[in-house]
Amino acid sequence: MSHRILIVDDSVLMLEIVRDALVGAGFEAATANNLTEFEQLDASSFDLILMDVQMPELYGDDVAAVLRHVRGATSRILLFSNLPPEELAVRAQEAGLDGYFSKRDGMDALITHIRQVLG
Amino acid sequence: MTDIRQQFRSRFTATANERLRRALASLHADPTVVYNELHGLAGEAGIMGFSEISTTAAAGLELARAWRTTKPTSDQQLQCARILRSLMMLVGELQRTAAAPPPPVATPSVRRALVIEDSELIAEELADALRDAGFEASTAGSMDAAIASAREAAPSVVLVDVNLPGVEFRTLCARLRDHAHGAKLVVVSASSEDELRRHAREVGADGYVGKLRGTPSIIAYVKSLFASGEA
Repeated sequence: MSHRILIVDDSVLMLEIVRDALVGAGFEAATANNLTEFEQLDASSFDLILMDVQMPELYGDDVAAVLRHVRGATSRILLFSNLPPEELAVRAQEAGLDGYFSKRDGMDALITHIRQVLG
Repeated sequence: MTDIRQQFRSRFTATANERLRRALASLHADPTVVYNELHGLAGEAGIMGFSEISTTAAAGLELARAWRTTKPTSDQQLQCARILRSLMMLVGELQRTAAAPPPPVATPSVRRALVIEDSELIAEELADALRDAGFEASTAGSMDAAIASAREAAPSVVLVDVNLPGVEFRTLCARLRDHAHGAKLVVVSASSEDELRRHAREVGADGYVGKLRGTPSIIAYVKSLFASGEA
């Protein structure tokens, strides 16, 4: 069974690019463009969540921390942003997440990274 | 990746132009818009592998970061306007590339290999061995020569050295992705296997092989990439 991945990002273009690439790589992928769409999904049902950090109505690391530590979600969660990697590393660590991926590294590297994370 | 880039290229340029128009229009009235638009553009360009656009947008982003809480100075606005204009030119260049007819694609019977290597001796040795293995092979020793060869030769495979003097490896690979459509990218270096793996992962290469394994092993590896018969 293929792994299920949720992408949360305020850019519709970003969501479509990543979703199509992940589906092409053999994953199942769903997207959420804002908090309302995100709340309508069962986040725990995904193996991995890619969470953008800076979105208009929320900070992704805050949402992810609530998801992980308050709601007890066991999905792996990676911050997904073009913030500097050193800042992303700190944010991911402080929120108790599974890591981060810098958008600057491109789509191929993202797929490789996801495969490593999901084993 | 190549398919995704082709599929979304025109959507990307249209979105980028919209973002840049909004940013330029808001530079004096509402500088927070500039930050938001550059932030979006840097991420979209990054994930698409348009590294020059992503890096330039990130430079503007760094400038505009403080504007979420403080007003920009006129010097900063001027500097940002220059960055926005540079971005418009880069996006325009990408649009023109997309509109141009696609370069010829090598057929399975004519596989072309491009060796990017600053040592002429090593480059020629690899090229000769590739020719013996049935490839048409060319070599390049600099970024400009590599991009020109990638456009002209339409290679099926590019062997790229990690340590080309004066060349940022990730930028070189991103530009190769732009100009060598569909080519398999193989990272070649005398670095350790761990280093090679890391470099290959960073640029989304199709594979890597250590120089220290010797020319026959490198050629065998390249041939194995085409074992299924695809070009």
